[in-house]
Amino acid sequence: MIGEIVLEIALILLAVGMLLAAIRAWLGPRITDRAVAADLIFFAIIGFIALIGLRTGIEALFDIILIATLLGFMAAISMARLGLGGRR
Amino acid sequence: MDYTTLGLVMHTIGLVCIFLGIATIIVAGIGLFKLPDLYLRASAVGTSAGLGVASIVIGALLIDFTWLNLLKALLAVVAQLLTSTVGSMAIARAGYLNNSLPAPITHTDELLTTRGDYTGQSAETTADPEAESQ
Repeated sequence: MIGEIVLEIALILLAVGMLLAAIRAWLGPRITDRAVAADLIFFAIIGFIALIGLRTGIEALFDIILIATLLGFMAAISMARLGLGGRR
Repeated sequence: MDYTTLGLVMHTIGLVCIFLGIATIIVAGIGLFKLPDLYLRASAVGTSAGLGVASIVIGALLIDFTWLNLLKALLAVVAQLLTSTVGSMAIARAGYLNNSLPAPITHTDELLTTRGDYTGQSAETTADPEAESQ
């Protein structure tokens, strides 16, 4: 099927975006730069979940996407708290 | 997956949406290198990556369409668009309070009044580089 090949190309392109964010997280001069890059990595992981779910045809794909979306907000707030060093 | 005309059209539009979303995420990744300071990077990630994920979810919905999936995907898209910018701005505020310096192209600094060590100087006189140089 042509859709599977296209989805694999899409996975590779998404990995390129994740690699860019990972390089910034490695280089980043401060912890908050790394937190922003980790935020982008998490968004790319949600894209990975969607594409792999389409590729394998699992049933609960949109449940996982919904939960991962809400979890990403918690992760961003946690990293902001980490960047503040525990202060508010 | 059926290959009626409607199914084929929705499949194609879904793939186009997925590639648009991936292109948006890659642009956000390039923006992490091209933009000079933390605040512009947080703005790039919060807006464009949220939009990219929303586009990928809409594309996945068009490929695998049921009415229950439509409800879940709408909830996910709305939650993503609402929370990605808020999370990125929270990280940017943490960086500001942690003394991450803005780039020299920054004109006004309205968050200066929310700092703990704010001394009462107005933001325009301290953060305007042209006023300092003249």
